[in-house]
Amino acid sequence: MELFGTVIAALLTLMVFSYIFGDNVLFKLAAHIFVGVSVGYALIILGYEVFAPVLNPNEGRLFSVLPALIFCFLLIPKLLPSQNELVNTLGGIAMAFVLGVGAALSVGGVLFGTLMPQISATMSLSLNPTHYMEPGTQISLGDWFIALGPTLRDSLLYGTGDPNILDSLGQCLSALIIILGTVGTFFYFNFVVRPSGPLGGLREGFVRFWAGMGRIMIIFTLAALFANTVIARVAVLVSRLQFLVGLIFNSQG
Amino acid sequence: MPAESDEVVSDETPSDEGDLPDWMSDLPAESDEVVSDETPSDDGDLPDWMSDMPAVDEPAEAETEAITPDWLSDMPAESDEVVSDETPSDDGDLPDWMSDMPAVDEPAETEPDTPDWLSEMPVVEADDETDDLDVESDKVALPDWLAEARADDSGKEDDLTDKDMFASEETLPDWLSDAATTAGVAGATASAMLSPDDEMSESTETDGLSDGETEIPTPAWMSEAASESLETPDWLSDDASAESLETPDWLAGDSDQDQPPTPDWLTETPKTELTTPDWLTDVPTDDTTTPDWLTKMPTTESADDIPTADWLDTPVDEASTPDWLTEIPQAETDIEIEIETETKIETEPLVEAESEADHDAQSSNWMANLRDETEVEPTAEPLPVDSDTGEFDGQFAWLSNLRSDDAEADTADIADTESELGDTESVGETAGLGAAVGGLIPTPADERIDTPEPLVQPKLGKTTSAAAVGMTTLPTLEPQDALLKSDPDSLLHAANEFYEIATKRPQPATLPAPLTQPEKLMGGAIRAGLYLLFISLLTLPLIPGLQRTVDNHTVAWTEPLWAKGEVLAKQRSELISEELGVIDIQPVNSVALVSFDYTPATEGEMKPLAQAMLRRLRGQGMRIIALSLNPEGSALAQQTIDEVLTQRGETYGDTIINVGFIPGQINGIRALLSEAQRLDNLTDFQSGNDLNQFDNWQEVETFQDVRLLLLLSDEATTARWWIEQMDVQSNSAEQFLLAATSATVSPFMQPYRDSEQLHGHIAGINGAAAMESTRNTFGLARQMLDSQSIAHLIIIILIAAGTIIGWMPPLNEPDEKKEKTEPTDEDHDNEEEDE
Repeated sequence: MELFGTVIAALLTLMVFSYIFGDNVLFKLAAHIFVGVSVGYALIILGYEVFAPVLNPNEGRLFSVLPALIFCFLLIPKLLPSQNELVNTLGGIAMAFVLGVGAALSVGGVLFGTLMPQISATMSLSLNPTHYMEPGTQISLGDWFIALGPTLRDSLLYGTGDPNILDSLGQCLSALIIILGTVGTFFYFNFVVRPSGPLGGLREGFVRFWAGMGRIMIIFTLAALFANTVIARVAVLVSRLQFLVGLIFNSQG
Repeated sequence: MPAESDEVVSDETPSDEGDLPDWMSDLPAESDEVVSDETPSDDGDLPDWMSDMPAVDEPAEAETEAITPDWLSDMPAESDEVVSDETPSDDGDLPDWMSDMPAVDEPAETEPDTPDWLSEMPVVEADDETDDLDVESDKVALPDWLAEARADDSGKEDDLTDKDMFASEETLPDWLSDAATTAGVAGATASAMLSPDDEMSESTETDGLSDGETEIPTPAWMSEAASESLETPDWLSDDASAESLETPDWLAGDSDQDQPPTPDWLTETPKTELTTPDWLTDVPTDDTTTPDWLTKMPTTESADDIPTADWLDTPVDEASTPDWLTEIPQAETDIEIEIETETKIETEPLVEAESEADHDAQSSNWMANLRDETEVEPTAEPLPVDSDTGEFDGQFAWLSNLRSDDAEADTADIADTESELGDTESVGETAGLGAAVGGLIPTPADERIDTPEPLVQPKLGKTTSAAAVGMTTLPTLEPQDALLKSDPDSLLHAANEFYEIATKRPQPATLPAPLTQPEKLMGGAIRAGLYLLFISLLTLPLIPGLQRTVDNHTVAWTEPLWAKGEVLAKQRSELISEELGVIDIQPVNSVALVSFDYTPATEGEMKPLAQAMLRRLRGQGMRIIALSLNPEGSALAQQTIDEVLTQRGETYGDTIINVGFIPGQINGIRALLSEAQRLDNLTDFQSGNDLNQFDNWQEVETFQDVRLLLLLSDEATTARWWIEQMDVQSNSAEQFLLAATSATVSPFMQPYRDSEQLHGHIAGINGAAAMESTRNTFGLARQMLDSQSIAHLIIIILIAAGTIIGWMPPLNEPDEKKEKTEPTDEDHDNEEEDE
């Protein structure tokens, strides 16, 4: 049975690889199988993992989940082609409940789990490199700059140097980039008309400068996202090749 | 105009200097002199400004002409009906410009209001004729135009008596007849105007006049003035001859003529007449009404006899001379030629507009209607020339008909027409022919709006009737003309370019020619070959025989050895300790909740990571509860768990348990973290038993019993859900959150890691390889490093090559493809057929 599954997996993998020669039936078949199996498996999991335990009278949890079950059954008539107003209304209530609760949780999570902590973290950033030194290190900013030159020279020439200085330098630059990126991105999405008045040109130049910085940061971010996506997909490809190679050589072995 | 002046004077009584305007208060002596009739005969008693004048009458006349519009002073005979309708005593009926006038008989007061061009000319003439002033004081005292007119009609004037003069005034309005006699009765009129009693009698007499008492046509004050005029003041009798008291010839001449009754529209619509330019009213009347400076210039036989002003005699620099000045005709022949030419130019647009009206009813119907109503037929008629002198008669027949044939000019029709014109009148000509008739005749500017030709053909400026009598033609540029004049070539070029673009046939899309079947096969073969080559290169490091072995340990080719290998191992160790250091501080048998939130599509990347993490957790002795927010995740979790347990030789359920799928996504997370969903109520994925039924999991009831939450996620959304809800719900500082995500999710997780919301984060194959390296095992992740490195290298090469090729200049396309992109005659035929 395990061998059968392995062979099916190998065949489906080759069918997907057949796309190298263009769009063909094998590739389409593999894609449809993948989608169909995923949905079918999901349904089975739902029935087995969600509904079966609840509907089991021995479990004794039927009444606790009765409202949820009612909502679920109200959603079923919305799948029917012919609907009346009552069905739509009742199904809409269930849908509204699901979407409303989900939206409320999402908004609350984004507000208190992402926005506020990120703002707080950004505001707490420091551009003083001595703040990123290891705890207990007593060094002034002037001494840090004095020590920076020899450290960089040793690091570049000999691969040595004070790691504490180097780390603080890296974190300081990282904080600087974060600040520039945050402010610049905000300005990049500042869509306003051309300001008027005597200081309009100055303001426009200020906004344009920071918007340009934000644009650069967005470009870098999107490039990083794309590069990471490529890396992830290459890893998936390699894993499939690894599976095929392992299948071949393990069968020989 | 005694009535108006009377009221004006009474209102502005000089006794109260505070009420006087500035210009009037500055002249107290002059006013006194005029009013008291004690005009000094000696020039030495005159103020300086008055002594400079050639005569007493002359400034009065000049002043009258200067203040009174020419059109008003030049039509005395036609306005006798105006007198009866518009009682001069009613100040409210006076136009503003008239009510603001000071007393006519106060030349000194109104002199500052005289336009420069007009005030300068008599002075110049006076200077020129200073010598003649002593000899012929009567001629000097009169303006030139009046003197000439009187010379022409000397026989008539000699026969005129005072009675005749005033009899002729019966046909004049009071204000106009007074204006005519103001020069002679200035002092007496002024004294009469200043008398309140006379003012009362004036109103009485005016009422009597309105009753039709023709026997007493003039009010008392006027008859007094007339009687007083017989008693000419000394200053007037001394300085002016008896002829100066008489009616000017232009007035007498008009009175002698059988003038048709004044049309209603002239009497009832004074505002319309106010807007009428003086050049129009000057033209149709006789020559005597024409200002001397105007009539003399073109019609004089010899230019030397013309007493020209200084500004005319002065040689003008060509560069600084305006065009209209340099175009002043110097000879009679030139004038006539110019008159003919400009008259044609002036009338041609109207004729063309009329012809266009026949063909284009949309644009010119209103024009034709207007002409029908006004019965103005402007045509290119020849210049009317006097049969005797052969000179220009000074008036056109059609224009004379327009004035004299007042019976056909209905006031109501004109009002209606004006209302119909509306804003159109505002765009009409302001100094040309259209303005002469108050905008009734459609101006060429109106026509040019409808016709496109003038856009590229700048027309000449519109000539005026002043040009018809020899005056300089002032070019009146239309807005289009102004644009064209600024840069006509560029505008014309832009118009032509727009025309070409607008009329250009739609071009077919320039698509590459479709490939032939062999070309398609060849292209597909090349692409497939490249893909196969790419896959083959990735496969090579995976072949067991091609892997590097060091000390009986398989090592990736991309991993350095010796010193640099130690550096790499150190870096990996530091990474793991930094990111996953929280695992090392967890107590044994503490519970870790691992969420398998990835799908089979990313299993190849996530599975090594998941295995490495499970091993790490189990290496720390932690118990693991696996769950998934995706239905497929439970099976993937089970598969991974089984492999780890197999490697470690452990039994499922003792240290690792899979509770399977948690429905509700973010709602499920919230339920778990808020303890609404108890962990002990979750069922095992394999057996279906509750968690509390397993022996090692009895004390685990809620999420509070969990020490560490590990996210295995291939998308940022589910990872963010966990992070956000953990930040909101979890109040325990002893609960840690780690994330092992796909490389795609790594940039999204970094901010949470920087803000310490994530206590650790590793991503992708590199993270898994680092974990394997620290454990000194050669697992799936390390096996994949070489292939991944080769893939990155190939991708870099392709990006560089593609960028270089993209920046290279394009090669010349074959002629066949070019022909394909251009529309052929067949395409045109097909388009026409489609149309």
